[in-house]
Amino acid sequence: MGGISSDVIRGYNDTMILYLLLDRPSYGYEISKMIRAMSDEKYVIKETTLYSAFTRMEKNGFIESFSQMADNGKRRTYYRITEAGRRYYREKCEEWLLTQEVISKFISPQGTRALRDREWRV
Amino acid sequence: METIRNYLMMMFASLPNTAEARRARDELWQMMEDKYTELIEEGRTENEAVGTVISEFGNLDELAESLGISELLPVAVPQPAENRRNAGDTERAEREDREAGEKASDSRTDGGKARDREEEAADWRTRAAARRKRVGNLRRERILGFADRVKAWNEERKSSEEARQERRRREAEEARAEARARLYTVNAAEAQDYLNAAGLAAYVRGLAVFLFITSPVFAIFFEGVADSLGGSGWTDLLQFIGIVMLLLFVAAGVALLIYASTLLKPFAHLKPKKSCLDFAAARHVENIRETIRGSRMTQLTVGIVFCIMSVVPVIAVEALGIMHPVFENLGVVLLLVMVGIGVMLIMLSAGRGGACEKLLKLGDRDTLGGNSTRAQREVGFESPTVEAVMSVYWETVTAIYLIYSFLTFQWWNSWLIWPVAAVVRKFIARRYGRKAAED
Repeated sequence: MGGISSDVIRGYNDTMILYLLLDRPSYGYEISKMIRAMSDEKYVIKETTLYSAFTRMEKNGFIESFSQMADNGKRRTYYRITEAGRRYYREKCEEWLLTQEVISKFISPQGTRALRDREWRV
Repeated sequence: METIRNYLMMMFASLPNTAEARRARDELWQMMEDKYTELIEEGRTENEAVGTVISEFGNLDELAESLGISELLPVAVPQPAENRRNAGDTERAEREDREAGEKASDSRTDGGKARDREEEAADWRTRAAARRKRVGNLRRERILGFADRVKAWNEERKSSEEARQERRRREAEEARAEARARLYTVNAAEAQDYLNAAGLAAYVRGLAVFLFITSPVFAIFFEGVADSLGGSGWTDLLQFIGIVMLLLFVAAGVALLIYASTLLKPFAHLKPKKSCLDFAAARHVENIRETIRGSRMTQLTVGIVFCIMSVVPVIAVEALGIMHPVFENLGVVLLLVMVGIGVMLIMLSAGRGGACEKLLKLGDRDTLGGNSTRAQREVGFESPTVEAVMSVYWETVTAIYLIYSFLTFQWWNSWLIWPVAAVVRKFIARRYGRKAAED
């Protein structure tokens, strides 16, 4: 198998988007481009996933949208993070550290081999 | 670029035309356009860029929450098969190109014939290019067949002359988007509240009209009884009671009409151009409209049957040759009661359906694809005068009915104003009703 399971990463799309908005407002394609670049092309966020994350977080008050002319004269929807969004981002970071700590206790270098051995025994 | 546009349009074609769906479509288009432009700038071919954008679009189901529903109805999601097929065609065309090129290079060794062969190869190449273009056109045509709107959209960007129009169109679209943003969005719960209130108001109004029509029945009946008693001391008392009952009925009717209008007062903001339905509400109201269609038709039919059959008691009394005043007047009483029930049922049927239609008219089209135009008839009235007159239509009719009836005391024929008023109203709506603006 290859690539990231979308089930696993779903809970952390918000975290990635909020991280990218921490410094300055941004728009849809730029965010998806940065996610791809920062993950070394290992994770490509789908447009629909990104849009649904935007609307959900906007509804929850984590981000705000506004319309602005881009450099090429096109009108784009930009998103900026709110104070609630920053708080939520910090919570998600702590949550991830804990998750990582717990899960990594169960990950061994021989993980795949152990699984194969187990299947043989069954 | 056009392929992406078509793809997006097809994905959204079957979704209700709500503010949320339009916003989602526009936002996704922004992202896809950005991605496509950059891929082309990086030097990818159009096919590669289109393939990448479409394969990274994702799943429309993910938008369900953004569109305000728990799950989307099964939508036939077009796979980017067009693109794949086209990639195959391109490959074939390129192979032919290469073969032609090889032929040409072989021929160079042959000296004399070389030029002929080279021309032949060049000819082959142009033919291959033409074929490629033909395949491209064919593919485009296939997609265009899906909807005329898509076609219109594409043709708009064909020449630079039309690009100016395109810019104007985009500005207008932005202005509309802003107007849309100011719209009040009705959710399913509020839509249901309105339908409940409108249903109750229809009952109340129907009952009021029933009371108006049947108000003289006691007076008429007691008159017959008084006649049969032959001028005893009871006559005056009976006539007095009859008039009192008539006044009570009319007063109750007027009170009910006022009550009905207060029921609908909290929903005064549900007007086209002021509010719109969200996705879930549109689906919900559509469902309700379908569910009550049967019972509405039954009410309408039974109501009409009652109106037609109302003359039967009078005719029966006459045919049987009954000369007794009590029975003669009883025939008229039954006529009024039956007409009252009939008109009440007809009003009830119209009231509930009308509420659904009114809500559905809040969206200018049923779906983003615009393939349904049923719910967009008669959004209002062209002239403000007609609009003002029609807003107090039933109140006016009631006033005329009461004035005429009290002045002439012709209660047995004044009820005719109700069915006539209903027909006239329909006619005015047809004649002066404004069709939804095509945007």
